[in-house]
Amino acid sequence: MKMDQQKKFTIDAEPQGKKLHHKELNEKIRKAIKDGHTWITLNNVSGQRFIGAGIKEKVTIEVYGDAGLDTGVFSEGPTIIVHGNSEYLLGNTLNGGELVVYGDSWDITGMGARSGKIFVMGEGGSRIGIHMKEFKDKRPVIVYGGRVKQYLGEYMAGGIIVVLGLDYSNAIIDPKKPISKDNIDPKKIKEHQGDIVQSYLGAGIHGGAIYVRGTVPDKYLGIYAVKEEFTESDKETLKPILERYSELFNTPEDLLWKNGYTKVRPISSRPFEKVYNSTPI
Amino acid sequence: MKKSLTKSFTELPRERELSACGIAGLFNLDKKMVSGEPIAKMMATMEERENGLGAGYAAYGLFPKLKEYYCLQLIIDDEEAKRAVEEFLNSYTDIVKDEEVSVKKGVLKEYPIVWRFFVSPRDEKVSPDDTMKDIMMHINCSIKGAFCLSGGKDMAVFKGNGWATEIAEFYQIKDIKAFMWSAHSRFPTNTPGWWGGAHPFSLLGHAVVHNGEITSYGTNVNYLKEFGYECKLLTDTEVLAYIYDYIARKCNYPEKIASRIAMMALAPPYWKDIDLMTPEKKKWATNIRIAHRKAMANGPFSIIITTDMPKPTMIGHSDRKKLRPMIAALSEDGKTFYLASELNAIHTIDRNVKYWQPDPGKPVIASLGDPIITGTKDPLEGLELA
Amino acid sequence: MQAQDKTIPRFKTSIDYDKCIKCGRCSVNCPFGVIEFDREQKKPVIVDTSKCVACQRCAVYCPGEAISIEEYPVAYAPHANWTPWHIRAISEQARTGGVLATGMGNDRSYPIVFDYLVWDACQVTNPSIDALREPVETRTFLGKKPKNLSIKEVNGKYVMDDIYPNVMLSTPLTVGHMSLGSISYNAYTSILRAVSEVGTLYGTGEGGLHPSHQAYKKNTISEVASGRFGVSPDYLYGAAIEIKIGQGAKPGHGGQLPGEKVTQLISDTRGIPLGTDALSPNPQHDIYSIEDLKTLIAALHEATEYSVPVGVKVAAVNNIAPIASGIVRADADFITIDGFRGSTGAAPRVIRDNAGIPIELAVASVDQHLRNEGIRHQITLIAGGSLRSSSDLVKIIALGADVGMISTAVLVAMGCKLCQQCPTGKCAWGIATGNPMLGKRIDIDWASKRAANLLRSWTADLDEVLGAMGIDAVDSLVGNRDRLRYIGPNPHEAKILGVQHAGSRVEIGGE
Repeated sequence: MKMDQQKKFTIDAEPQGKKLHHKELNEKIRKAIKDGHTWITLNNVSGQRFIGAGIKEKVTIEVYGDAGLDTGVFSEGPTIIVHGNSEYLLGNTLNGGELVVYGDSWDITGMGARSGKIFVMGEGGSRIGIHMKEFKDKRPVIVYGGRVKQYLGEYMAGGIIVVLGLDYSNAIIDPKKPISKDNIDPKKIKEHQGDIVQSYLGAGIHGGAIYVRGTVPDKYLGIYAVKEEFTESDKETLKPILERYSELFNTPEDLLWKNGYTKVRPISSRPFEKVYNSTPI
Repeated sequence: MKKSLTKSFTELPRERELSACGIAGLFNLDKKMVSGEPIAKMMATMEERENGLGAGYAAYGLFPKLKEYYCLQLIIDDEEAKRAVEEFLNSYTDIVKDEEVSVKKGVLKEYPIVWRFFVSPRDEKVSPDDTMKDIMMHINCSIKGAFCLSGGKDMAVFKGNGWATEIAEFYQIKDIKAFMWSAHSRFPTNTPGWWGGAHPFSLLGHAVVHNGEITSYGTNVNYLKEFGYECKLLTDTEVLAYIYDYIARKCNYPEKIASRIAMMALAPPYWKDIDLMTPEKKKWATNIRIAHRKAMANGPFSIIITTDMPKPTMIGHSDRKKLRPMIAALSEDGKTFYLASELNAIHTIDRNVKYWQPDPGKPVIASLGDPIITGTKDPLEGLELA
Repeated sequence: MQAQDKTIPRFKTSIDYDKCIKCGRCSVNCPFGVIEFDREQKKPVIVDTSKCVACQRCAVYCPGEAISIEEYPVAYAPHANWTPWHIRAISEQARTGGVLATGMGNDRSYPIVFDYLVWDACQVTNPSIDALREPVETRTFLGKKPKNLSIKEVNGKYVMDDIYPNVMLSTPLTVGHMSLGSISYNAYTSILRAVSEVGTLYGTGEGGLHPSHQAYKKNTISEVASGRFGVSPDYLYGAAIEIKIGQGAKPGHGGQLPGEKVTQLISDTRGIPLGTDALSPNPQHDIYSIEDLKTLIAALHEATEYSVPVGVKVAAVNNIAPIASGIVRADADFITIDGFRGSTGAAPRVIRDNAGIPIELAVASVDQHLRNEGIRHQITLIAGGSLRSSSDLVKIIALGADVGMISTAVLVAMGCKLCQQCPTGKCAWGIATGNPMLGKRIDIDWASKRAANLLRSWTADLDEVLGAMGIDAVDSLVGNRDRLRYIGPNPHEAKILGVQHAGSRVEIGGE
């Protein structure tokens, strides 16, 4: 839907200086959707949890401030854009839609996601994308612009995780303003020095793929995760994802492709097959 | 006053008591004072229901000059216990007056000291009712040799081991005047010496007389404990009194309907009947059952609850299978309300009453100044509900 | 396999050819490869008795009663410490180096607390009730209960606020979680049909609800487990939601549906590709502490607009009482506790056989603890693992549970013989299998009727017992330990149960 066709609505998450509880805020969001609004802007958000929980409608929710835990949890339709940071569990059990964070979002992003896309411009924590799964045309995607920590893609059963290792700390044109596409100076985006992923990468992975820009030392690979040559077909897979990333965060595509990618995949779809012995005793 | 007893009258039982009983109530709806003679006579008429092992009377309107103070009426084994009670009361209340309750000598072979204290609790942070509830529970459970028979305002309970006629004579009930009376005579299955086991059982301004046995005892006790009621006396009647106090007083329901909700919780309509109710009433009945699920008293019972909170009220209620008897009556002039296990007890006093049998599980409620809820319709009848 | 790798067979299957009519039903029915039909001899023959698991399928289907199964008649040298069981286990471990896996509930011989309890009945001082002719109510509500109602008087009108969502059950008996995949489509459908006929609930298990089962949605408890399979916004709108933290058969362990069981059907239901292992991690990775549980409960309340009760299922472990208290404080609407005899489709034997505590003690301790904390009235307590009979149901309710949960008993009603071969997927009775050919052995009309009959039978038993106790609504049995007595060997156990010894009337109170 074009911007001028959107039916817009604004909610102050802290009216008269009093912070709305997540229950009140979500009630207001749901009511706005029920009333036919398609673009809902939330101002003054400060850590309210569960924004957009379980919502199925294809609306856009724009968040100014720091979104709380479990942003977009269980949701299936909305685009949620956070101009700020988002706490743990961004996109928990996500079923569809698109979550965009112009900031950092720490641990357990996209846990158990079944579909949908998550783009985070900044840094990530531990256990990102764990147990993501894919099915038919449902293929969840998580992209982190910055670095991530341990257990990336643990138990991963499908979908795609991309880690770019870019540093936006000097690229914000006006730090006093909320970060958005227009507030990013593409020329000042830098690359992080050193490793951008950590240990136990893809531990127990049995589906999907993890793409890390640059190289990944072997010591970081988790059990049953293996490195594989990055092929033309992988390039085709990544292309639309990186195009979208580039568009969202005003980041040159050249920079995104620079240094190439390391692909990490499962050794098999049933790595623990031989652990259990069901012979009766 | 010096006495040396051969046994304790106050020691708590270690086993739960089971008993059958006769019960009666008399309530002057003009708040006129009535001698205890008629209620004693009602009990005497029903003597077949008792076996001489416990009886008692509750009377309201006794102390018009001291009615803002709680009257703690106690039985005490010895002087030492009395001193302990006084010491304890002094630390939490101001004792305005205390006196020995006069009893007739020669009626009972042996008996404890009966004493009353008029007190006003000091702690302003807790409601005076709650403080008094805790004080009563503490005395009964923790002060050896003392037991509170009652602790309400402007009322007292007179009870002990003996036939209803003996207890009436012992306390000289006919010389006592009150506007509301309830009474009880008992047929326990064992023979404890404990006077506290007799009815009425009283907490604050409530007094409960009860006929029957609660099969839900364990469930009710556990439920009540969550809200600070320690059922240490091991009687069904105690449980019923606490359930009434919790729902009718502590839950902060609107005064006018609090008793009705408590009675509905105690013996709720069957689901089969709730399913047929109008949507509003169905919601009320369902939610009362859900919220106060474990307050439901199961097994055979008929009870008379008298209370002055928030205003003088007498309630008759029975289990929903109507396994214990209960007759209600109103004098011809509509000024005196009666309840009794048997009609003959009422007829002994007044042959011209208009009497009726309340429906199973439906309460009769006579509250000063309000029309009588007759127990022949469901207790929410006549209320506008949403 | 070398000869030394072999252990002595557990069972000896034999065919009495005098009685055999050579119809071959036994060989067709045996999925384990014990009996095959010899085309030359034109009769069934035992080809490998070592594979026999005593599932009885061949014997039941033999029209001539020609088949016998007995313990293999080879003696182990007597040793009270090193039992044949230990020798067999070591032999298997030495053969593969893997973890021994098994199915169903703990089969070791621990004392069974249920069997030390008896209950009271009315005599003289109160009347018993004729449950066939007079009402005895078993209707039960699952959900959070308010401490008291909120009622206001507005212009002479009395207004009562709504209470938390509560789901009505016709009986305090639900069917536990068994996912589609752990059991066959036909078995699953049969249970759904049975609970909807009876008016109670079935746990979906971890793995979503198949599109063809949507009509039964309001008779399901949607499980949200660590794998989050099939968890879509629509799925959350069952009768209730249950966050699965643990299972009695394998506390602290997750689950794995092996790839060979991920058939097209399972793939469609769970939303994962064909043939991949469906793994449920040991922890829920959005719950690392009690406040995280509160967060997930709140997320589920929020996602369903506070219209669906959200509960938490935990295995009965040492600290179950404070854990349950934490769950209540984390705002759960109900708690399901699964005892250490609870069943599983697959679990490491070492965990199944040793971890956790009996449900009787867990419920007694949780009920007591929550009462001490003054929060018992808020929560609906569901208990299972394992209730073998209606008497176990009565006892667990009297010990403090609001609702009993059964699974194995339902499977037994549908033919299960407890051979414990669930993880192999070869279930001869068509229950614990993903093989559509085996699954067809369950006739849905027949099995749903059997399952419904079982639920009705236990409910009728409950009615009878309540009547004999002089109780006309099950509400008054919940936590009514006053009506139980202990006849076991261990007074300390009685104290934990809060139940007096038979013959005693002295109140002892729980711990």
